[in-house]
Amino acid sequence: MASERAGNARPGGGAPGSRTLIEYRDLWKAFGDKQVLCGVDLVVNRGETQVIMGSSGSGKSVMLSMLVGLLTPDRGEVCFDGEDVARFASIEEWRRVWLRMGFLFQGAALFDSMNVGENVGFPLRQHSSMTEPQIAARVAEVLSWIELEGIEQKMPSELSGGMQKRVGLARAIVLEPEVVVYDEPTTGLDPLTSDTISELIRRLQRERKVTSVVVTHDVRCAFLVADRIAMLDEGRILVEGTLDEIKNSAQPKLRAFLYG
Amino acid sequence: MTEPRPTFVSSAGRRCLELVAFIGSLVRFLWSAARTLFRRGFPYRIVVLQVYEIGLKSLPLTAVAAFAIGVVLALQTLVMLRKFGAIHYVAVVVGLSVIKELGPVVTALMVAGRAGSGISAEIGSMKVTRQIDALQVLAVDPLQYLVATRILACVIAVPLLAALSDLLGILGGALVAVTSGGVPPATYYETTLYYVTLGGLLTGLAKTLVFGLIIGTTAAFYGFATEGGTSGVGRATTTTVVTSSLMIFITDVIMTQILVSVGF
Repeated sequence: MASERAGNARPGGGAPGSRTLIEYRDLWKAFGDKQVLCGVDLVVNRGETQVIMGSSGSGKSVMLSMLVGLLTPDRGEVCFDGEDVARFASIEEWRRVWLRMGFLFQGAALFDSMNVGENVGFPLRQHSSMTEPQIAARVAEVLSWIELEGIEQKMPSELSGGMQKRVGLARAIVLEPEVVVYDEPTTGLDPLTSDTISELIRRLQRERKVTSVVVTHDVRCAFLVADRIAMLDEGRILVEGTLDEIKNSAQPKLRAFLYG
Repeated sequence: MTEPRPTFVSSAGRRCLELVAFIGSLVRFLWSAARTLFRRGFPYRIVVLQVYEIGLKSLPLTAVAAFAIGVVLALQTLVMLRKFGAIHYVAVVVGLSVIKELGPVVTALMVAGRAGSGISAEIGSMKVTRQIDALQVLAVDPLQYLVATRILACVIAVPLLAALSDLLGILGGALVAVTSGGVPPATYYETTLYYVTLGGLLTGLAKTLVFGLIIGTTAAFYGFATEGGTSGVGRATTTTVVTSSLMIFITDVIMTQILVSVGF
């Protein structure tokens, strides 16, 4: 049954080896006078796809940014595999986490001075001892997986929005991370392209067993990819539950968000 | 209750505090970048590429400027020196002016305008399109990959360009002295060698190390601080050129005063 609450901490605590991989505990964040997060609690289990939904400006992307160290919380904990990453002080500590995560940015954030092959191969050049032929082969393999073979020489500016997102996904998964984090993966795309991206997210979870955190306000995408959905409202988790629980929830705000 | 109107003194005081805060931020930024030089996996390949971008691609501009300065300096001084019958001293005026001041300063200003603005625009646009965030989550330190590499490249490229500017400025002066002033080439050459000492040349080039540091740091700093989309990139670029040019002039005055006081 979908839990309606101000927090939903489940047992596990994100300790290494436990079912929980990511856990937000009593998370607070303000920007100036605007309080964006007011004590958010959320648990993400290993191998599951957790969708975080909410209207624009509700703080969904802020939660993702805290998970990867782009923002720090004012209060609270962000636990990844048992470690509170909000307390990390050195870049070396973060490196361990970053190398286990892939991040797909809202605008893909491809390096515009590099072609597609260089973009996708960039993490391999930085963090592996692979030779150039091995990197080229791995890049071709990942591009083939996202069904964009043979575009290594194209520049990001030559790609459509959907293709940029797919190349961004290829770059995010080329090191085979345990977790992939998606920030508004389908925003600005037409419905067909959005479905292609959603299908890739689903395939990634099914075939490679990655844990995914997807921030979106696209209900169709959420329903296609989610194992669990959390609805963020006024800085708190309004409702959290499995896909079926959320679909059948009677929470008025949630129903208004999902069905208009 | 309305706030009291700021007086001249309070405004000047506030400006001074802002200046101190800015210099503090700049030094802290430089220190953060400098620390990454000794971290493992420093991307020296990027430094080489940036020396090419900043150095070789700025070369036509700095070369033309330096040659033109040598020519103009010789044309202007020949008029005066002819009155005193001392036209072969044109080599001294051109040589010393170019190696001690004009070569280093003009080269630095040209690089600030061309390469400094380029660095700022590149980093600024990466900031607003979240490419810097992408670097970070790919476990690549942007301070090392983007900032330290470019600052180091500026520190290497500006002295090299200035050395070439010195040579071209002297050649420009020689061209005018020989063709318009009737100074024999051998006389010009020997006078230049006599007065232009290695010490003078090196003190001029030492300044360019500092100018390179100023250009690289200022450009990367404003690039990193870019906010507000593409218009923010434009503002960062303009501010980079204005600030680094001013800092080059101010640093030049301070360094020249120090060098003169210690006998250079």
